[in-house]
Amino acid sequence: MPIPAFTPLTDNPVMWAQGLLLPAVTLAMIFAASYVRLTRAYMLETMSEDYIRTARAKGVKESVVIRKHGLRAALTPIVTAAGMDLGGLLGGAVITEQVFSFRGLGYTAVRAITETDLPVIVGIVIMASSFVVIANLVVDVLYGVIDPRVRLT
Amino acid sequence: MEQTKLDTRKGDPGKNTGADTGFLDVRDLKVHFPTDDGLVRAVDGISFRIERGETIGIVGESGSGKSVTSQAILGLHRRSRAQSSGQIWLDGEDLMTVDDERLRELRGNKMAMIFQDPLSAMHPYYTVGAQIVEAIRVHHPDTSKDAAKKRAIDLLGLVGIPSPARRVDQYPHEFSGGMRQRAMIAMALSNDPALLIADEPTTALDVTVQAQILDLMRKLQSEFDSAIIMITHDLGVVAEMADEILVMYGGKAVEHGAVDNVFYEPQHPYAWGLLTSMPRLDRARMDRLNPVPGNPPSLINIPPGCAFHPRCTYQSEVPGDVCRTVVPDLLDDGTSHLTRCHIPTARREEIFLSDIKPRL
Repeated sequence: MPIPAFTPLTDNPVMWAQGLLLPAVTLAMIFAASYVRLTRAYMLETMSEDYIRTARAKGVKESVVIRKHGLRAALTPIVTAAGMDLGGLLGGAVITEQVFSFRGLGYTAVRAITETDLPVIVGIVIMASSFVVIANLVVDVLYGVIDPRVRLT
Repeated sequence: MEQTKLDTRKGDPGKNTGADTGFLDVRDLKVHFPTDDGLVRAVDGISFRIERGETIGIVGESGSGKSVTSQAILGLHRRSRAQSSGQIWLDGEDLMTVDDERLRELRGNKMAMIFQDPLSAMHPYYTVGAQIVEAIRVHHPDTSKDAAKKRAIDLLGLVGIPSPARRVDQYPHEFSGGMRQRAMIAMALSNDPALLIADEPTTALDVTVQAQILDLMRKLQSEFDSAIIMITHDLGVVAEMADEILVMYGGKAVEHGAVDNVFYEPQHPYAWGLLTSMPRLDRARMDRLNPVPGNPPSLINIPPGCAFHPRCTYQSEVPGDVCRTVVPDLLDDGTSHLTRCHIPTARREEIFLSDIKPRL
């Protein structure tokens, strides 16, 4: 495994992907922990719903009951949390960037703060907040796709 | 003789001996749920038997174990913490001992269930059509999606949903209550089940729709020669539909017999209470209805002796505290009319003729 270093996508796509692999796994593992707990909690709730019993009564295989009937219904709150996290992530992942010595948004933000570089701070805050807003918009649209009862008007 | 046969098999469950078990034969079914507060004896020794083309009505108050009985037949308690015992013979197979996979093959295929409250019993994220198609294709994987959808449209039409070709692509929340119940029935019927369990299929429906649904079930029964278990607390519905009635109280059968016997010559004080509490349209209006006093027992703390004794107005008929200490047996009066009561049959007959019959 090569030591991750950032290579621009336009220079060498393979190197780019290799460089991003380890940081991506690191971030994924941090967030996976909370998603596992969240999914577990909502699945427990969903699996006691009447429509799960109906699915079983139809003779649907248990694995299909869990994936198709249970997970689908538990997805809504998980997507909500994912939207929040996605917005935050785009605004910079400070620690991960430090660990892999990436010069990313998070790194720039920290440097700007220590150097009281006000214009850069303002710029990053605006960028990060627009990411959060956009991510939430995407989530709202996704609600409509997941849950047919949600009407987008 | 039947009894000895039963006893020998009890020690050796799982043997499909194919003895005289009828089409559906439930024997001494018990379903208990261990909870933090104690053991909930939801069903405590229920036995009944029906043949194809017959309907049995299971009646009783909320919490008397009706729904748990029906769900136990489908094996829906298997993955829960419930402790079940007894035998459920369906067409020569003991559903209590078959493996999960076999049970799954039977569910929705040979035996199907119509659940109460179809809003929560249908998946909100899938179209009604998709849910019926799933029910068909899970047991007939060779059926193409188009063919299954065509069948779903036919089924929706069969249960009286107008413009089924359009409705099939709608979601449950776009259906009205009555239509949802019909869609639920269509789903249960999708594989022509030989045993149909209807758990309060007409509760929450207005009487017009109720009559249509009952007509529909009767029509389907004559068409497919299905056996039907009708669970309800609506005595009118049972009177209309059932051949046999099983009255449940506190997880046990208290009265069981042919519909005419139970309706016109009820034997158990609880059945008397149920029947005399019904409002009558064809009689002069009495001042008040006569409810059964008290509340149904908690299934964790079933009263000792006869479960009904705290509410029974005829307890004084039995000397001593027998009602409070000894659980009465379910006894046959010779006409396959079974009653679980300590009052001697002859005395009950007298009470019935003098007190109850004039009020029925």
